[in-house]
Amino acid sequence: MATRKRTLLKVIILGDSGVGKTSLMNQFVNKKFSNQYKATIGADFLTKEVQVEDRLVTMQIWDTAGQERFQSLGVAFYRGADCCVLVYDVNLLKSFESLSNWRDEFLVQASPSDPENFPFMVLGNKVDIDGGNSRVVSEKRAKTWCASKGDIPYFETSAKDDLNVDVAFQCIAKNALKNETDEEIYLPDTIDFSSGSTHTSSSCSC
Amino acid sequence: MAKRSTNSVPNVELCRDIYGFTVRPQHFQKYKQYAAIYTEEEAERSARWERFLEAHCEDLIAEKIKSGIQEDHLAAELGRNIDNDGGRKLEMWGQVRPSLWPIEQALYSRYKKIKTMHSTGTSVSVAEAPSELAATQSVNSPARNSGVISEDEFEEFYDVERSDVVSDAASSTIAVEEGATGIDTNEGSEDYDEEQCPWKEELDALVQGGVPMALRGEVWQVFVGTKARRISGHYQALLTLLADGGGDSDGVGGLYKGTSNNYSLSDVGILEKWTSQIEKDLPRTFPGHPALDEDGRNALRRLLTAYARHNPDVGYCQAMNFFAALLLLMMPEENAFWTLTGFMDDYFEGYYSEKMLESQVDQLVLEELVRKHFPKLVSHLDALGLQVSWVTGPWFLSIFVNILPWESVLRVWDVLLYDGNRSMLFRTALALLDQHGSAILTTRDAGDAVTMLQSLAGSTFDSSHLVLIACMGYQKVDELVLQEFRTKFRPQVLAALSERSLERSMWSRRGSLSSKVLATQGTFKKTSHTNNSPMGKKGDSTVEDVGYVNSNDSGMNGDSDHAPNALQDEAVDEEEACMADLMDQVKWLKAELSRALVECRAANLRADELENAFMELVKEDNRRLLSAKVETLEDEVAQLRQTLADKEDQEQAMVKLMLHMEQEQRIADDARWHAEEDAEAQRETANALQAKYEEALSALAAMEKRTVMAESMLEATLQYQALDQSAPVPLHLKQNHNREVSRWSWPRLSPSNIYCT
Repeated sequence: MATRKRTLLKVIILGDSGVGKTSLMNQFVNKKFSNQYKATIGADFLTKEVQVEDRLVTMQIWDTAGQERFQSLGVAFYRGADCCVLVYDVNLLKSFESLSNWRDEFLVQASPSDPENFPFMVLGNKVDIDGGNSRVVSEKRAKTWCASKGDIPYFETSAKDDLNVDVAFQCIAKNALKNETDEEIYLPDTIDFSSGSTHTSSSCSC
Repeated sequence: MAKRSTNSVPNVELCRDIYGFTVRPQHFQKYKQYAAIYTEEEAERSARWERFLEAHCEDLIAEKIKSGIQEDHLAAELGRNIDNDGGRKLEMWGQVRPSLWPIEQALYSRYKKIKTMHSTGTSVSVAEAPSELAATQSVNSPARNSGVISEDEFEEFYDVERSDVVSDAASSTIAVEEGATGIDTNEGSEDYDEEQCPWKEELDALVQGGVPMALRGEVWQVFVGTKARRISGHYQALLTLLADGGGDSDGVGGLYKGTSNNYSLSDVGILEKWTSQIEKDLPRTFPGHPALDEDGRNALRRLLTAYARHNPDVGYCQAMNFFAALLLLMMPEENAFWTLTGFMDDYFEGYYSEKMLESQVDQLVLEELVRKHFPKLVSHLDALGLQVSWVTGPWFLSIFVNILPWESVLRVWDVLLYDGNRSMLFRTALALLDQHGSAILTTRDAGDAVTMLQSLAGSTFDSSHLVLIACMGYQKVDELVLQEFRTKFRPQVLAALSERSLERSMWSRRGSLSSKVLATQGTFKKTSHTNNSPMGKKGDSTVEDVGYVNSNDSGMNGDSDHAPNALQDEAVDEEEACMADLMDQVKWLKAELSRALVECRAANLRADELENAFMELVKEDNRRLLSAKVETLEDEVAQLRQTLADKEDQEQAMVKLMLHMEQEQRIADDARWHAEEDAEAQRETANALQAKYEEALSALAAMEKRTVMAESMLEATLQYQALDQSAPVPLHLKQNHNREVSRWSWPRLSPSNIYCT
């Protein structure tokens, strides 16, 4: 039964402006990189189907605007997220230092039932720049931070070179699913077509 | 940078449209289909505008030429045409063509009304703008009040400016319009003097049909009132500050952090917080557009930074980069600045500011409107768990730039800028949902719905159709209606904002604040000791925080060098030791400490507030309990009453029954009485009969006696006769006669005869 089920995962990408959130999303979904991305206003959205173990999973990826003031917009779509991806630029200390802030912001806005164990993911992006010579945040420092926040999985990525992007998003899907299993018991089976739409909504709001 | 889109961008590149913007590959086929239509429409509308301008503007132009403005205008036109590199300074400002002056003049009244409203009303940020401008013009007026300026003041500076540019020709108009007082900002016939603007409806239709590319830049300026807003020298002054103030390191305070609007050159040293964001977005603004070369980006940087300085309440918000670039593609730099200022300050007041209040309000308003107009769609989206605002939020914030195909974007902007308010945003969004709603209804999950809506919006190439539906189909969605809705929803957003900031501060108190204090204590034990006393007044949670701080104190004492890092996150990497010099650290930590204190005080206040709220709740709770008890008692009483009523009912029923029985008994008695009476009657009859019977018997006896007598008489007679037989009388005759007598006597003795007697 589980293999036929269409599972929806809602993923939110957060991080400072210009760290490469849109690029990562586009690399993952469209397998493309462009130097010419436009600044994201408000939020953008893409979906991608991935196979996790024996399940077909539809990932709904919400790409958010990085400028701080956009946070004050009703970020209602945080609610019901299954995973939150925090992105920073390894060449920019400030973007790393903002991670705490983004994490708190997410937890406050999304108010998940179990904030301690909510699946986060940290991506240190732009490791390709200058062959890694311009980076200011070491992997060790990033990992220490992740460990201190409840063992958040950490990946170093390059959206430009397509480094670790797929791996990271696979891991995101897997972790989100792991978190989801507990709640799944309470959900009706989505295969039931007679009332398909209501079930879909219940499964994505879980 | 003053390149006009008409002549600068050739339509050669495969994925770029006629304006030089990229067309998404998936929409390219469709774009090619529509390109021919666009060309046709463009020719048509150019002809219509030309006819219109020729028909209505001749008189006025003639007048203006007489008063000698033509020369100024010519000079400006010349200045604009000078080569890019050589004539930068000269072409910063350009006049619009004279044929548009009448429209400018007609719309000027609207601009003035808005200004009047703002300067007399309580609304702040826009009202501040002119005062700030005035401040720069007048010679160093220090510490000028940032608040409301009187209308006279504004009038004064405005007149001065206006006469600079247009001389007396315009002053007559001002005089006329000063008489007309109005507070209505919404664009409507009342904004125009009928005599002055008999062609308003014609202009409405023209604008909805689209502004020709060749005129668009200038027409937009006319719509926004760019010329009237301009204060010559102000933009240059802002640029000068810009040139002096660059290249500073990250600072805590911004130049315009306070409410004061006057700035002096000494403040410039502090770097503005927006610069880094602007720098990030420069290459991300229409990347690859032919006109946005290095010069173009420099102009964009100047424009955005100047605006951020001009209106520090807004500063720089992402999305403005697109607006500014769009304007720069169509008009000279300074014109673009004043146009941007115009619609950012008036049309979108409170929209892009730090809290983005109006933006949030508008989304609630839109949701309400969508609910009203498309109930089916809304219930579908509700079922999918999708809020319309997740999609429409970005639409509004970017004023459809990058959302719709460019032709459609520009057509929407035509109407929006002409309207003088942002109601066109709503009408366009409703028109889009109108067009694409049925397709959305077929989607089965939120992701599909969003993707489809985005893609459908991105392929809305039929701009004329879109604008037609928006302007005609949703004509009723005007500024008045929207204002009503906004007033309704604003408190809700404000409440949500304050709740959010409260939650946020609670979080930071739990997390980062404790670590901040921790670090501060590590370095400045003495200072932080004084800090502890106000901290102690706080609620329990803060006391815990302080306790936490103390327990870790010794651990942190050792490496004071790492304090700044610890402020940002607790995991300090030894390798990433901070190299800043100690004095800076001291300063920074002091600032941090004072900030923490402020936060602490704020937290105290909030705790009090919460406590009050809690007490209220408790009171209410008590009241609720009591009322619950009263209710149960009342219930019981009601029950008892019910039982009583039941009993009474029963009793009544019994009484009825008894009455009934009584009745029956009475009837039975009557019957018996009647029977007795009957019996009596019968007895009497019987008695009477007896009596009669006895009478008859006695009569019979009497008769028998008489018979006996008669017999004896007869015998006697016979004896007598026998005596006589010696005489010759036949015996048988005598016997016959005897028999005859007895026969007659007998019947008289029968009982039946007795009655007869």
